[in-house]
Amino acid sequence: MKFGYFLSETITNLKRNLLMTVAAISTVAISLLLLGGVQILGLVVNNVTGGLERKVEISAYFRENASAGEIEQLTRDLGKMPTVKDVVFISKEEAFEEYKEIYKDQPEFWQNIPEDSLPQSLRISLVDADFTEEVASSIRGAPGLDEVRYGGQIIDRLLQVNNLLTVITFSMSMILLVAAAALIANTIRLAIYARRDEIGIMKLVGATNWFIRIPFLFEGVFAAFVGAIIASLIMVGAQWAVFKNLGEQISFLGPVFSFSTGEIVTVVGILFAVGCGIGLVGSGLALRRFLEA
Amino acid sequence: MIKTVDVTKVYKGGTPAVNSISMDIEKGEFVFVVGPSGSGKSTMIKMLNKEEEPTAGSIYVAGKNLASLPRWRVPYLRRNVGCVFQDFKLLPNKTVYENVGFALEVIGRPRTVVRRQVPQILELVGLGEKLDRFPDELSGGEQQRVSIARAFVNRPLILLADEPTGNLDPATSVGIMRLLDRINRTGTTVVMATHDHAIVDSMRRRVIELEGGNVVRDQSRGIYGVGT
Repeated sequence: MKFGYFLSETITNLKRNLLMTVAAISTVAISLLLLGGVQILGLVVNNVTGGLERKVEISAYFRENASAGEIEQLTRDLGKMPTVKDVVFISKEEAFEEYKEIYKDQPEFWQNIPEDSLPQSLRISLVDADFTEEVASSIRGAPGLDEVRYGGQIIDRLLQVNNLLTVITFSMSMILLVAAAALIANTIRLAIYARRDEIGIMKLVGATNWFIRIPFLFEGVFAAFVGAIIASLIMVGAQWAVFKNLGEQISFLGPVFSFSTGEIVTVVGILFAVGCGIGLVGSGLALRRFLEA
Repeated sequence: MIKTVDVTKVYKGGTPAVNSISMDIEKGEFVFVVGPSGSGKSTMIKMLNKEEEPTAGSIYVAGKNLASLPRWRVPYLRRNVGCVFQDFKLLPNKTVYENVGFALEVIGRPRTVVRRQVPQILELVGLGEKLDRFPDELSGGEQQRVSIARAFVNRPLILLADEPTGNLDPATSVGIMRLLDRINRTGTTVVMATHDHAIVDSMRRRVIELEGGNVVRDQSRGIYGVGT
């Protein structure tokens, strides 16, 4: 019976301030959509750099005169580093075979060079791309070593762009979330104002503070909840209608737009949690300011 | 039932509205608080249900010291203290039945109790036939009866009335006073602030007269007084 009372009060209030409610709901939806966008962007960038990172290796080329002992020493040193996942020795023959494989359509590139003209090297894969610079510089100048090469710059640039995009979108969504909380607070304030006579009488006849507050709290959370539903529907719809198709069309770039169900569920879950949080904060603010005994 | 000890109320930057008032009201008494406008009647009434806090002194209502009553207990105090006002304070968008039922609903009484008690109390105040009317379809006297029904439906120990007949003509006022008298006979303590001479003189009940925030007279079976 009590729940029924709260529910009917909530719905009456929302209807009374329809325009304000709509504004609050859409702001919540938009800000949550942006927040979801941040997360999707994060997933996309992860997919992209994840592919690149897996390919990231350091190639350490030896001098012509490097001794077997020097090669073995460096291999062992690298093997001891915790950031190094794997070290593979590439002999001159293997290097030449790979070279032939890469340029198999242009035989003129390799037909006229001796098979032992490419240097022997170590191919070092890392636990994480972040350690590339560190590992590369630690082995630079090792005895017998000629040159150390890696694809670090691309990764760095990508991560920078990702960080920048994340910061921008995240702060935008935060600003909008604050705006959403303020709009919800204002909706509740109007609802409190519209019902000040009733509230006065409720206090007079001995309604407890929580009894008075709960319909307004419900109202804020309800508005935010509807906003979260809208944002989630748009997100899931976009995943289904846009990302899936787009992903198939640019599949040569790797699995850029493929997200697991778990990832989508997490994103939607976060949207709902943040949404309800915003609703509580917004109505809580209004109650604190406008409904003190 | 109500006891005040040296109660003083000073509003910001003013002279005391109530100045060191001590009084003792027994259970089941009917007390008029009289005096000209600004004598402190309303302030006194408001302090009795903790709408206002005294600046100094202590107030005991139904055995509770109001100063040490935590804020969350105040609603439970008010369930024992019904209130009636000059301007009725009815909700215009609710019917007579809903206005009274509202008072029960918001203190969490089950719907079955509301359905049983509201028609009963409206019958008592003489509005048994007008459950579905809205306040603006009623006369002033009838509206005040609704507001008394709302204050009394929960059977409070105390009924506070602040100028309940202030907006009513003398004939209607008599009806309201009969109703309050009837409520008093059920054992409810009634404290009524008024400056209506005729009513006080005809009822011959205890009169506490205030002037400038001080008690100048406390007389059982009194009249309004000659001086004012």
